[in-house]
Amino acid sequence: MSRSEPDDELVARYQRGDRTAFTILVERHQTRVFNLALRMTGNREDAADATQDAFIQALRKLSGFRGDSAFTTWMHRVTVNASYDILRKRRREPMLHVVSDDPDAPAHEPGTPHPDHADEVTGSLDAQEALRHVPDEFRAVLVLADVHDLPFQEISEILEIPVGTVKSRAHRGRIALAKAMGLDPPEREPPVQPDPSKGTP
Amino acid sequence: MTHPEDLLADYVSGSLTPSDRASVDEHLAGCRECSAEVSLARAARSALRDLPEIPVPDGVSSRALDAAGSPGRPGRYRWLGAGAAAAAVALLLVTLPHLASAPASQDKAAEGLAGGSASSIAHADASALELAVQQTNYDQASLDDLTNATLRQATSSLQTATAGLPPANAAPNARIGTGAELQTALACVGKAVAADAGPPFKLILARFDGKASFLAFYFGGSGEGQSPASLVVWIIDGHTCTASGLSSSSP
Repeated sequence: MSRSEPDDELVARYQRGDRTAFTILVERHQTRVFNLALRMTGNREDAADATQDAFIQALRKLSGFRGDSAFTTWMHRVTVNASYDILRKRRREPMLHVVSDDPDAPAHEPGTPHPDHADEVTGSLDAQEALRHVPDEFRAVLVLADVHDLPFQEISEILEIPVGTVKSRAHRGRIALAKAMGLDPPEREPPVQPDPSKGTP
Repeated sequence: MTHPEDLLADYVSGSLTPSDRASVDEHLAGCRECSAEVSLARAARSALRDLPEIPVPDGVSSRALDAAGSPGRPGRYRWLGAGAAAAAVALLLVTLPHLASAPASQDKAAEGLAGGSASSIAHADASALELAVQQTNYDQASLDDLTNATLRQATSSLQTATAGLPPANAAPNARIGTGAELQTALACVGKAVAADAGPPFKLILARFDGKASFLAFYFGGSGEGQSPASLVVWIIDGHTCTASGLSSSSP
């Protein structure tokens, strides 16, 4: 058995009953899956739960995986959906605070709705914290495009949305993130024009 | 002025064709609004690319690996010693009413049970294990409910050592399969799950999404005498003897 065996061959081997193939797939992808979940959920505990759920979902569905998309594309989709599920679950628990890995970071209440529009986000946060202030749908695109450096076409397949929507969310999301990080330059005060009615003191 | 909004994401990612890039460059030279947006977007992309990769915490994937029954992982059955396993089976096995005759509507999987031959894997715990033949048609949600309830019962029974469990999983119109049926069921399960998994501690023949299926219950676990760390139920197609899905639960 080769650890460099392509994913699709491992999937086929798993479907023929070789359970060790699944172990290799998990070991190969778990860092990427965990980090995607971490950037989506914003804390390690939820990321661990999402990672676990994602692999359980993958195991559930792998027997029926037909290879219409690459395993990595499919696994990213499963992970994003597992992360969405965790985020939805947390938002139904308004008394629970999601604690950031950064002890100095302000606690975020999941029950507090995020802004509907990425454009409304402003502040001065680090990138991880700022991600949590970007709406979920924009965050997924940002993480896949800029943390995982995936092409927009693949993100479109992962999220099952048109590629034009992906690009739009990437651009608006980046701007929202930069504003949340306080990276937007302060708007210049317009030059004061002399008021001719007041005359000269 | 028309802003090339549909090109700006690719521009920042560096994935534009040279001609499109030149076109955007030309626009940016004369458009402060787009130029400011591109600066912000670039800064955001740069900050995200600088985020470090975090190592995966130990054990994050263990539940899925347990469920897959991968070699080298804790056995799904061995968390209990043989004696404890027998006791757990006695406590946990579905209490089913014995029906006078086999249900009329079971399909080929059930029919095939009657004349089945014994499996080489089936002997170890055949005395403790029974096959519950149910008329229930499970879906993922109802099977997940059963999985959660079974794990709760297992944890509770081991913690309190109470004698006997209420027959919470008893299903109407169910019966206990014959010994031959059980052997055939175990042979089918043995084809679907990892060879080192051993027999399940609980086995049901029912329908899952309309298909005759075996539901094979395995613990994933900690150690002998301890509460199980997880419960995995494999859904095994009764016709093909291949795993078609699973349900899992952890405390």
